[in-house]
Amino acid sequence: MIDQDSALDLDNEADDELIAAVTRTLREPVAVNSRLEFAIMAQVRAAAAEQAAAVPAPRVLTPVPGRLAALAAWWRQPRTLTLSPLTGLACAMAFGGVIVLSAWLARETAPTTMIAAAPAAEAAVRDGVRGGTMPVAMTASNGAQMVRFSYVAPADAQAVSLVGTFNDWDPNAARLTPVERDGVWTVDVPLLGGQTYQYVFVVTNDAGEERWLADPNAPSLPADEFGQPRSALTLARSSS
Amino acid sequence: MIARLSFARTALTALCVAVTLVAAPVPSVAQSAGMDDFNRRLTGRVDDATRQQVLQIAADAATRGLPAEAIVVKALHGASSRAPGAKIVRIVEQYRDRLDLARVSLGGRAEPMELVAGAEALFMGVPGDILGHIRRSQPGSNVTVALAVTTDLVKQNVPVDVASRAVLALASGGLSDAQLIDIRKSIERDIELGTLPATATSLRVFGTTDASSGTVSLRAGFRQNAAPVRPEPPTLRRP
Repeated sequence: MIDQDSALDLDNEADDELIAAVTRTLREPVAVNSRLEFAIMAQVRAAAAEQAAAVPAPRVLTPVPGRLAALAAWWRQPRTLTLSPLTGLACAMAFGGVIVLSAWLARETAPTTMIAAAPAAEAAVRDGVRGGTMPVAMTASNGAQMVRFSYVAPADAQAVSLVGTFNDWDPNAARLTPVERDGVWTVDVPLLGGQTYQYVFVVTNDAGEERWLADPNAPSLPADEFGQPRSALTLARSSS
Repeated sequence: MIARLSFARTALTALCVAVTLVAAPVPSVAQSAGMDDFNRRLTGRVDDATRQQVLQIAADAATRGLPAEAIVVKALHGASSRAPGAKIVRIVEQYRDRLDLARVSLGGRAEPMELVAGAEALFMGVPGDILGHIRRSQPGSNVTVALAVTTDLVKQNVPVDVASRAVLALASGGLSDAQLIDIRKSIERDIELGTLPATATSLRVFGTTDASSGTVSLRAGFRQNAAPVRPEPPTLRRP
């Protein structure tokens, strides 16, 4: 025996099947001759053009706006932006590329190694410099102060370098230039103010032996973690 | 029209998703670029195993918000000193830990150069709480020079408590970096002339030989052109 609910369920199932069949049929693409489609669309466009021509131009209710007001209205008028996901992705990639490129360029132009070997040896002698450090000029770029490092090296010195926290402790980064008199060697290095630096002179003698020597004109400091001598320099921020 | 709007919405959503996908890795790209730079600078200066370990320590420091640049410079210092790789790695690790401790003392918003100066102060035996005091004495200001002056005084054999009390007093007095450096130079001159480090510091800053009882003396300490403090000549006693 079939009760009433079961009968209703059966009716519903039958309806569902019918609806599904109708939907399938409606969803099937209708094959249209391409020539016919082209002709129809041409007529639609022509009719639309005629209709547009027949419509009178909208009356301007407000006074003719000035050029500025028109420009402002043009900027305020909302527009529909249509672009494919592929185009959107390309735009995003370009945007991201610009950011990455900017970061890369910033890294390339950052003053990681701030060395400019500008000896100014004559000035060192004139100023009576016999060793130590002294600010010599202000540079216009990045607020660095030009600091002159000078060292009175022994007679057998073949090369004197300045190594420190400002040049990766690289003996080739800042070579001192000998002044003609008194064995004074100097180099000018741009350093940022408001920071503290450690440095040491590397003196190479005739035999090619390297010696790390602290600045004799700076207060003596205890050796660093690597057991090497060192000197410290703290620069105040420039007032400019 | 509805179809166009729907399509535009879809495109806009795709654009947003794409921007998010592209922009999200930008910080890691920047960090990666920094690591590339570190790798380039370490290559040829240390052996491969040391380089890898230093890079790992630097990356770890960067994730902790510590200045990885300073860690690489420390490794390069070891390389130029011709220290063995194992020693370089050990010292670099210790340095990273000091930077971390300096950040704890100076606060999470400390700038890289403050952390470097703080780590050097810790290396010289200045306690971490002194760093915190110096930070609080100049809220909102960069304390790199104040920390460096403290360290410089300690390096000149000024006792840590005298040096830190002096710098705290000077910093609280609102002195500029240049004035702090000038006072330090004056103290160094006095020490060169033979004055005991603690005495020279106390006299220059507090105007008294007892730093613990003194207050900052504007007359004694802040005059940059003050005459050097010469040690008292030994008094000869007749037998």
